[in-house]
Amino acid sequence: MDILPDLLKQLASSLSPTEFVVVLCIIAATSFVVVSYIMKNVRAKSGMWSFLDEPEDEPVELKDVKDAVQQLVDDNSKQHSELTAASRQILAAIQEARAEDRERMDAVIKYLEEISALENLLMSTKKDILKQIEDLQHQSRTHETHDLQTHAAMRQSLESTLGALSKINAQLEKVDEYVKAVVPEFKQAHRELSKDISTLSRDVALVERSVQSQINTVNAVTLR
Amino acid sequence: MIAYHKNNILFRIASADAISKFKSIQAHSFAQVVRTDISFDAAAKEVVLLEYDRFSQWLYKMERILLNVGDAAISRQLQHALVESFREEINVIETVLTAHESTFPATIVDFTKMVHAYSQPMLHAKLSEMLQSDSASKCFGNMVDLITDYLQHMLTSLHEYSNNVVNASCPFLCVSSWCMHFKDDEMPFLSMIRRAQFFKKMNTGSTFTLKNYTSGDFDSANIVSALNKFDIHTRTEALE
Repeated sequence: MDILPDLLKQLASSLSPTEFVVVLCIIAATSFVVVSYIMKNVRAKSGMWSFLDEPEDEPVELKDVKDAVQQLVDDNSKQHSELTAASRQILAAIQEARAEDRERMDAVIKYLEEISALENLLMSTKKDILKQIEDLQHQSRTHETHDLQTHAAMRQSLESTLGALSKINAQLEKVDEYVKAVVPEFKQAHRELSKDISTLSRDVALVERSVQSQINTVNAVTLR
Repeated sequence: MIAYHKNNILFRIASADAISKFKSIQAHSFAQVVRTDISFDAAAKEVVLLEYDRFSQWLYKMERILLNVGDAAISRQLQHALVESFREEINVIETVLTAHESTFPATIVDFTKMVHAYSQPMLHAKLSEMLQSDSASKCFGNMVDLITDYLQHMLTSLHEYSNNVVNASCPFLCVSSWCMHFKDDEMPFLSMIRRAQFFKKMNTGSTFTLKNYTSGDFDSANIVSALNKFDIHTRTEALE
């Protein structure tokens, strides 16, 4: 008879309040049914239970009472075992549900852990990117400084080169003016020389021709 | 069938020799007109080239015709035709001169026509005489010499034109064999007088230097006398 309290205790500890109430209701209903069956079998006459009575024709003997009680006990045991089995099934189902819940919780936890890990990774990456940006900015500032210095140096060099080129240009202009003054005379002299040479060449050719044709040109006129 | 005349080697030798001399003198004349010291007028050069070109072709034509005549006498019809062909060449030359005004200014066209005018009677007369009396081979040689003298005369005349009209230098007149051999008995030295008159019209003045282009000396007194009749004077110190 201690099994039922232990069972109730176990149920109370393992079930949620709602579930425990449901189980108690089931147990109560089952007990009521059992008691009513017992009372019916024992033929206990009371006003309270008179509605349960069935019309009997003969008086109850002790053997019959024992049989009835034995039957009742057997039924009680049977019901108890059935109840126990049902309770166990319920517990098993509850445990199974709890196991499923636990598994889902584990999965959620795992998912959350993965999200957390990804978030950590993103944060880490963001930190790396920011760091790289800072480095680049630092380098850019450094290069700008260097470029400014380089540009300044280049500008100086260019200015000095331009100055030299201007001087060279001025000299070239002077030379050009001189050449322009001299070249026409040279060109003129060269032209006259070329003209004289071509004239001489032509005259030589003419003289050669005249010499060659002298035999047959006794009567030919030579202009003067 | 193409005609072929054999046994005409003598004519061919004579004609080849005549043409050879003609071409030599032609080359010599062309060499004269391109001399830089002479300053021959460009239009005058073209006239010389044109005259030589037309009469070269005429002589080749004459050679072919007389080759066909052979040893026979030249008929009167052929004589007339040959003289007319020469006249036709003169006409062609004057037509070309007139038609190309850009190359031949009016003054040089007038001058050339003037030379043609006093030359043609002399040339026609001489050609007719040759064709009547001479054999074909001898006639052709004489024709070549006649045309050569005429073209040499044209050369010296245009030399005068270049100097007197174009260059407006000290004017001179050329005394050539043409003038001496083909003078008109009634009007001696007609060619010189005509040219001097032309130059006077071109405002070159009336005093000319005489240049001797004959093969020897000439009687300048007759020339001077003939020119003086037309108020044409010569520079006595420049007589050559």
